[in-house]
Amino acid sequence: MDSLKRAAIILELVENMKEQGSWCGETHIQKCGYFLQEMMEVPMGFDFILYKHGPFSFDLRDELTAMRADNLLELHVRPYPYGPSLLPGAAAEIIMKSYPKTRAKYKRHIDFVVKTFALKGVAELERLATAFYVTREQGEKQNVEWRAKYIHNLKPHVSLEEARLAVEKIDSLRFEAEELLKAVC
Amino acid sequence: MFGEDSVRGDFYKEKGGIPDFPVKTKDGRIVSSLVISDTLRNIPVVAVDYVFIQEDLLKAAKEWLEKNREEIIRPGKEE
Repeated sequence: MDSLKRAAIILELVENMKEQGSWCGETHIQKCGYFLQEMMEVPMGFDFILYKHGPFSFDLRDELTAMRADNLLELHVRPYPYGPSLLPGAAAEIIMKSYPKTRAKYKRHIDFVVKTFALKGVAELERLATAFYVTREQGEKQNVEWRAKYIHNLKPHVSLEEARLAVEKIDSLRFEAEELLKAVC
Repeated sequence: MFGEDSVRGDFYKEKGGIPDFPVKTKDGRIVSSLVISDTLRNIPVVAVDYVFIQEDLLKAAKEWLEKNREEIIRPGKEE
């Protein structure tokens, strides 16, 4: 996917998150970007690794910085306790208007991710994204208990019960996402 | 048009994230670095985009640029 199309998808995602009331911090964009690419199969080409607070893409972080350089995104600082937000910038509209087909193609994917994840707190996002990452990396056939223990071992600050709930939630969301993807195709 | 050997590009965009980190203030509060620092909040992202051309082609290149500038910067049409 070329970089401008990818920028149009990120802008559509951020714009939708903002409309839904998300404060669009980088962590939220990272996690929503992760689910958009890996759960909803939008081929943005970012490489995600399991990092301190769950899946994280250094490529995506660099892309967000490059988008700030191009005035596609702007940094907005909010008072304590919120972190900074990244919102569409002065040049965003040009890209949005230039890629209506790409935005339309992935609209339902983005809607699903925003509706499901954009308003969640960062701690819950970390648990859900890690549960999804572990499910994909360690085999979907591993049962809930096995995956919950695996997550708890990786991240002891996530209790076994929280990990179990996250895995169960992810299994249900994966099913919803698969149904949506079948309907879209 | 001017030949690959006559033209060089130098493109760079800053990598890395926002300079946001926790700061302990004198009264013991923990706040974002961006909230308390105008400087950090306003550091521009470094982006460099230069094209260099062989000196004897400079005049022709400038004329070409004047003629084609709008076309070059116009966003491409979506396929």
